[in-house]
Formats: sequence, C-alpha cells, structure tokens
Amino acid sequence: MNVLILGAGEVGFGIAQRLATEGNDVVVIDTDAERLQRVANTMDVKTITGFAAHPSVLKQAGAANADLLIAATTNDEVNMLACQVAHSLFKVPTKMARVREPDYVNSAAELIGRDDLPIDRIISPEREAAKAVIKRFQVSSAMDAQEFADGRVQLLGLRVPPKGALAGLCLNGLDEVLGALRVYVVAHEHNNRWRVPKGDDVLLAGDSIYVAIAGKHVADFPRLIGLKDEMSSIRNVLLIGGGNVGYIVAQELEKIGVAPKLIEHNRDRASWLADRLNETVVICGDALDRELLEEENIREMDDFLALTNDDETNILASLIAKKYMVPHIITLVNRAIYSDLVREIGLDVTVSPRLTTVASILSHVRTGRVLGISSLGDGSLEVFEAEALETCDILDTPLSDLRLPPNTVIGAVVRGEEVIIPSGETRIEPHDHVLIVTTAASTKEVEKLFEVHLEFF
Amino acid sequence: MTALNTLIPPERLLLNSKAGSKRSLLIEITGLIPNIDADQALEVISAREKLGSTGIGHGVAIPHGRLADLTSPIIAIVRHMQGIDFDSIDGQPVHIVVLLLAPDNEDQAHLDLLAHLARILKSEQVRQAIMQAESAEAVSALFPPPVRQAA
Repeated sequence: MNVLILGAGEVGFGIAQRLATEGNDVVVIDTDAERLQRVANTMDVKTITGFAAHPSVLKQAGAANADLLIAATTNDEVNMLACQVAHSLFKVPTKMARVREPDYVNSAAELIGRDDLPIDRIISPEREAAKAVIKRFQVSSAMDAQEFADGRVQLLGLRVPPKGALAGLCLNGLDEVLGALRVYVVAHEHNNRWRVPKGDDVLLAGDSIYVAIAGKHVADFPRLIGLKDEMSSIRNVLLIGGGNVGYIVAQELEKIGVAPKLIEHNRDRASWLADRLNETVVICGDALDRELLEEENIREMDDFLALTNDDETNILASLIAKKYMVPHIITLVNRAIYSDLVREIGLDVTVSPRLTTVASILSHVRTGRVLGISSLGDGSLEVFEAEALETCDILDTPLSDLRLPPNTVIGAVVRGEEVIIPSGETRIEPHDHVLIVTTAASTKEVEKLFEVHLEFF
Repeated sequence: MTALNTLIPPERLLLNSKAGSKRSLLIEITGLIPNIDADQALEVISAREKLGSTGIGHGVAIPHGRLADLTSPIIAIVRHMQGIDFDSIDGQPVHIVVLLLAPDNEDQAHLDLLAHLARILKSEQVRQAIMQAESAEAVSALFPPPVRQAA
C-alpha cells in the first residue's frame, strides 16, 4: 500500500514507523528538514520537505498513486485542507486528519462526508488519550469491559479473586464451575506477562484475565466467581490538568458516577471548567504544591490521574502521589523518550496520546472485513472483530481442525442475535462476526483468514 | 452486436501501461470503458480489493465489481511490462490485469464469466502469448466467449 504521511511529529513518526515495518511504501512530508532527517535515519521511508497542503508538494510526494493519506501536522486547518487537496486533485481514496480543536471535533459529524469535507476519519489525539485513560481507570478498579458486535459480546477484564471458584482452576475445568453460563478465557496475565492461554493453564489468585462472554450474562458472572462488585464502591479520584484531555476525562468520570477533584493551574481555565462540570470539584492551583495536595487529602485518594500538557509535571506529580501511597496512578506521557524511562522509576501505568492515536489510525488501515481492533492488557495482545464473508478461509472447518496462527484464539462467534462461545466443533458460517484474540506478531496472518477469494463478487 | 468472436474488443486493451501503482493502474483500466461513471467504478473495485486482492498469482489479477447502470458485463485488459505490486497471493508483481464489471443482477452468470476468465489465464501458454503479443487484436483473439449451453 502507498501511504502519505503529513507531519513528522510524534504521531506521524509513530505511524510511519509502524506502517513501514509492515512493508508499506511510505512517504513523509514535513516543513522541517531536520526532523525529516531523523525520520530518514530511523526507518525505510521516502521524505519530502515542503508545505503539506500545497498541491505541488503532494504531487511530488506521489499523491496520484497514494492509497491512504494521513494528515498529522500540528495544524488542524492544514490537515483538513490537505485532505481536500488530496481528494479534489489526486483522488486519494482514504483520507484521515488529525484534528485537535474540540470546536471542530464536536461538529465532525456534520463537517465531514462525501459532499462536505472529504475526510474519512477525524482523529483527535486528546480524545483517544482520554478514552485510554478511562479504560485504564476501569482496569484499575478491577474491571475492564469492552463491547463488540453492538454489545452482544463483551470482553471482561478482571483479577482472579483469592477466595473464589477461579483461583487454582485449570482452564479445561472452567465449564464445571460455571455450569450453563459459558465464557472463553482469551487472555491471561501472570507476573505482569500477558499471554493467550492454553487449555491446561492454571489461574492463580491475583492473575488478571479477559473472558469473552455474551452481553446478557455479564451481570451474573462476577457473583458466580465470587467477585465483589467493586464497580459500585465510590472511588476518590484526584485529577491534575484541566486541558482537553483532563476535561474529557472528568466528563466521562462523572458519567460513571465518580466525582473527581481537579487541579488546574490557569485561573481562567479553572473557572471555565467549573462552569461546565457539575460533579467535579475544580481547584485552581499548582499540582506540584505539596501543601495543596495534602489539603486535598491526597493520602485518601484511590486514583491519581496526571493529565497536564506537560510531561515533566505529570511525571513529578505522579512520583509525589506514589510517595503518598496512592494505589492507582495514571501518568499521561507525550514524548516517546519518556515512555520507557517512567517505567524504570516505578510509574507503571502511562498513557501516551501518540501511541493511542497510532493504534486508532492503524485500526482503520486494516484490510478485509475487520470491523474493529483494539488492544488488551498492556497492549501486547490485540482483539479483532471481523465479519467472515463468503469464500474466506476461516469458514466451514470445525475450529479444532482450523489452523490458526500461533497464540490465537476465537473467543466468541456472533450469528445474528445469537452469541456462540465456541468449542472444537463450532464452524464459522458466512456473515458470522468473529472475535479473535492474538499477539501483535500474528495480526497479519489473522487478517489473511478473513480475506475473500477471487470468486467473491 | 460485435462481429469479433471475443469478450474483449481491441479498443478495451492497453498493452503498455506506464502506471506507477496499483491504484493508478485501476484508474487507467476503468478509463478504458466508455459511458460509465469511472469514479464509481474505481470505488467499487477498490472496495472489493480491500476485502482481498484479486491478484491470483502468476502475474495475473482480475479485479471485478458490480455497477448498477450496466446492461451487460464488460471487460478490459491492461498489460504492464515491468509489473506492478498488486498485493497478490504469491507476492509477485502483476503484468496482466483483467477488469470485469457486471450489472447488479444474475449472480451465477457473472461468477461463470469470472471463472471462464480465470480458466483462460491459468494457461501459461496464454499468459506468454499475452506478454509477447504485438497488437491488441492478437490479445483479443485469446479471449473467446464461453460456449453457451442452450437454455
């Protein structure tokens, strides 16, 4: 595939790197020759120095041959305009634009479309980051839930409770414990390593697992395995940074019944936030001021979310929170160089707008009838939801005979309204939606299973 | 009615494509067909390619799709001497691209036509003849219509 990437910043760099290693022909455009040099030194791509939206520059970059354009410069207007130019002059079939300004994002549904701004997908790094923060927040509260096939199937992430039916259980014996309620364990974490489990794996107390389960059974499951309903307990959450990410996260927290405290440095922004957030307590002050933190009861907090625009502030504030023994800390880290560093100093849960944006863009690049893709656990496992079309390889063979790529399981099959938790005898039929969990290394092969053959008309 | 005994009249053949990519080749080949909405045709066959490449190996691809305003199936060929990356199943570059556009009906008839084309192109002799042909007429002659069974 020929891909044009506009902007060699953190996002552009990350996407270019991933797409180039997957064997695509990538051209990166940026105005900054030095930054491009860094790109050219790191990966096998073509670089062009110039203004990304200019027709002559796009022409030089081979826009006429491009299958996909990803506009990820730091300037929203340039990104949107570049999509228009690529559409009108070069008929580039798929165009994505990074748009930060919430004012645009909020009107995205009316702004983009065939007869409006010709953008197939608007990507907002702040929104992606906020989504990721909320996801991590829910994992830390013992539960993560991801919906597939319009909610008919869910992947529930949970920790194996010490005194319950699951602790010490071999996966092959799961059916005996759960009786009629069927689930499929698709991911298993032990000692911080996530794996796709095999039938003879044993679950230990404290391990984390993801199970595929029919949406209608979700409410019964935690009780059945002896898990207390932790979601209902009220959590004390302190959030620092009321920028775009912090604001969206606060809104989402309010929606799930949490009323966080939010510390924002800028006085005008703080009163702006206070006007718009109903349940959140907005405090104007310095997030690194220990006196203020103590005043706001940092010792009593269950969760600390460091979401300012400044990586250094987030890292330092998180370290302070760690000193006060806050159990769950999430640190927003933009720059790639810090991501590894913070793990070494003991901050385990970081969210990177760059990485989440790259992942989101990649999920739209997949071929075949892949309807969704997202990551599980620490990101080393991926979930696919794909529709099995006529003629593709996954059809008609009993799953026990199907040759799946290594470390790959089928967690659920959705046939119309029916949810099938598969066994070895299950066969996939045309138009089934299949939920597959695999490792990053096997994603290409999983995609191949869903590619149609020539006779698909 | 065309007098020639072929599925592909010479005017729908392009023997020396200079396209630089799969996409520009698809634009080129849809351009060979008169009186259709070329943009829509391109969209239809690109969408089909996304579900799985029609590059069936041995340097051959048969992109296809349905167009509502056609009255009968229509076929075009582009030959690319250097070969072009088409995400083929064997990973090899494609030299012979046969486009099949069909009306939005009669499923089995289109499938039969597609199978007929695939069968012709399966022969290494035919592929060589296409690559060595000096005129469009010579290529046309390699694509006789399928023998019709009486209804």
